[in-house]
Amino acid sequence: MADEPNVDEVAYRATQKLIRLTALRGTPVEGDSCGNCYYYLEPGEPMSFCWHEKFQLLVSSTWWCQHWEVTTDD
Amino acid sequence: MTGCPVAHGYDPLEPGTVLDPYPVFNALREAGPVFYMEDLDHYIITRFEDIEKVLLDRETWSASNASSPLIAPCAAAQAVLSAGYHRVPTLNNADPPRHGPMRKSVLTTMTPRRLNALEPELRAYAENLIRGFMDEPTVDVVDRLAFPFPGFAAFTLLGFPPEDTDLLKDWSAKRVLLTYGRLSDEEQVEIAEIIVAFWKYVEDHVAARRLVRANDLTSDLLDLSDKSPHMLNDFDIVNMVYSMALAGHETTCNTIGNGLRALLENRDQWERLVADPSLIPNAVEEILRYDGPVLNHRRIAKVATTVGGVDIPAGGKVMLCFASAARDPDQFDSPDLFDVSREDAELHMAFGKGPHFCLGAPLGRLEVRIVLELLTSLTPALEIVPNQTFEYSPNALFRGMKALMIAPRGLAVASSRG
Repeated sequence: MADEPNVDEVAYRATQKLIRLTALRGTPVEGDSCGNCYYYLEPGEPMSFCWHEKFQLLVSSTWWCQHWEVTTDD
Repeated sequence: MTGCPVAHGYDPLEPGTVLDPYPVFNALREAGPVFYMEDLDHYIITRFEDIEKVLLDRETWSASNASSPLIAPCAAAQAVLSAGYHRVPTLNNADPPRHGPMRKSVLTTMTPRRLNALEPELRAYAENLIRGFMDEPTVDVVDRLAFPFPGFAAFTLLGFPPEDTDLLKDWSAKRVLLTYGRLSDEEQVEIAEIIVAFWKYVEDHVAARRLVRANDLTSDLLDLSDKSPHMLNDFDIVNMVYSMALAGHETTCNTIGNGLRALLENRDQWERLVADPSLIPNAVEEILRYDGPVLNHRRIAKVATTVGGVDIPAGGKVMLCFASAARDPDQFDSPDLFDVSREDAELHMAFGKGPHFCLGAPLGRLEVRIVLELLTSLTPALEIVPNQTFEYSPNALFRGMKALMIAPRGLAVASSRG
C-alpha cells in the first residue's frame, strides 16, 4: 500500500493567503457569486475556471470573493 | 468573556497622536484587543485578526455608522444639516438589502477594466505636473502632485468641471473635519453650511446630466437608471456621487504623500525602486500597509457579541483600527520596518475587506503606481527636505499630510540654486 501523501505546506499556506487576500467564501453575497462574475469562464456550469489575475484556478459557481465583477462589458 | 477595559488617556484626536499614532497604537494593541473610549463612546479594536472578522461578519455588524460624525454636531450645525443635506446610507455605510444594488450599480459603470483604460490620460496628466516642478530647487509635493492628481482623476471621472477642482478639494477637506474631527460650535456651523453647499452642488450636477449626458460616470449611472429604474433612482445617484466626490481622491492624495515620506525617509528603499521599478507594485502595497491613508473605520453591533474575549453590547459602536492592524506582529514580521519587497504586504486592510471592499481600489493603486514610476524615472535623485515640520489633518479617520517639502533634483542641487 502506498504511503499517505504529505500535506504540501507551501501550497496550503498559499491557499490560506489567497482566501484571506480575496475574502473568498463558499456562499453568494447579496445575490452575487462566481457563477455570475465576469471572470467565470463557463457561465452555466456548476464549476469552472476563474481567470482573475489573483486566482487562475477552479472555483464553484456558488462561491464569491471581493473581486467579483459584473458580466456586462463596456 | 470579560468586561471591557477603558482606554484611559487615549484620544485619537490628541495632536501628538495625530502626528504619529503608531507608538500609541502599538502600546494599546500590546495591552489588549479591545478598549472602550469613554469620551467618544466607541470601542477600539486593535488586532488584525479581530478586525478582519468584524469586516467579514455582516450578521453581527452593521456599516450604518461608517460615515456618521464621530462627535455629534452641535444643535446649530445639526439644524443647518437637517435643512439642506439629505444623505442616506448608500455605499460604504449601507447594509443589505440596499447595499447590494447600490454597489452593483457602481461596479457596472466603474469596472477595474474601465479604470485601467484611463491609464494613458492619467499618466500624461501626472507627468505634466511633475515636469512642471522637477527643475525647481524645492517644492511642496502635496500641493503640486499628491493633491491635484487624484482630484483630477476623481472629478474627471464624475464629470465635475476642471475649474471647480480647488473648490471641491477645499470642501472635501472641511467635510472630513466635521465627520471625523473635533471642532468648535462656530466651526461646525461654518462647515455644515459647506456640506449643504456641496450636497446642492452634487444635486445640481446630477440634474444637469439628467438633461444632457456626457462621457462620465454620473451619466453612466443615469443611463443605468433609465435601463433599470428598479435598481437606482436620481436620489441614489446623488448619494453615490456625493460619496465618491470625497472617497475618490482624499485617500489617494494621502497615500501618495505618506508613501513618498516613507520612501524618502528610508532612502535605501527609494533607491531600490529606482534601480528596479518592477518592485513598484509591491511598494504600493507596503505603503498602504506601513502608513496607509485610513487610520480607523467603524461598525456598530447589531446584536450583543464578543471580540477578542471582550463583550460588546448590541448597539456598541466600534472603531476598527486599521493602522494598528497594519503593525500587528502576529500578522506581519517586523511590522515597524518599511520594506518594499515585503512578501505579505498585500494582506493589509487599507481598502477594507469583504463586501465593502473599496470600489476605488484599482484606481487608487493605479494612481500611486503611476506617480512612483514617473518620479523614480524623472527625478531619481529626489530627496526629502530635512528638518521640516509635518502637520496632519486633525481627524480620526484619514491620515494625510498638509505639506511635504522635497528637492526634486536632490539637496545638493537645491542648495547650489538656492
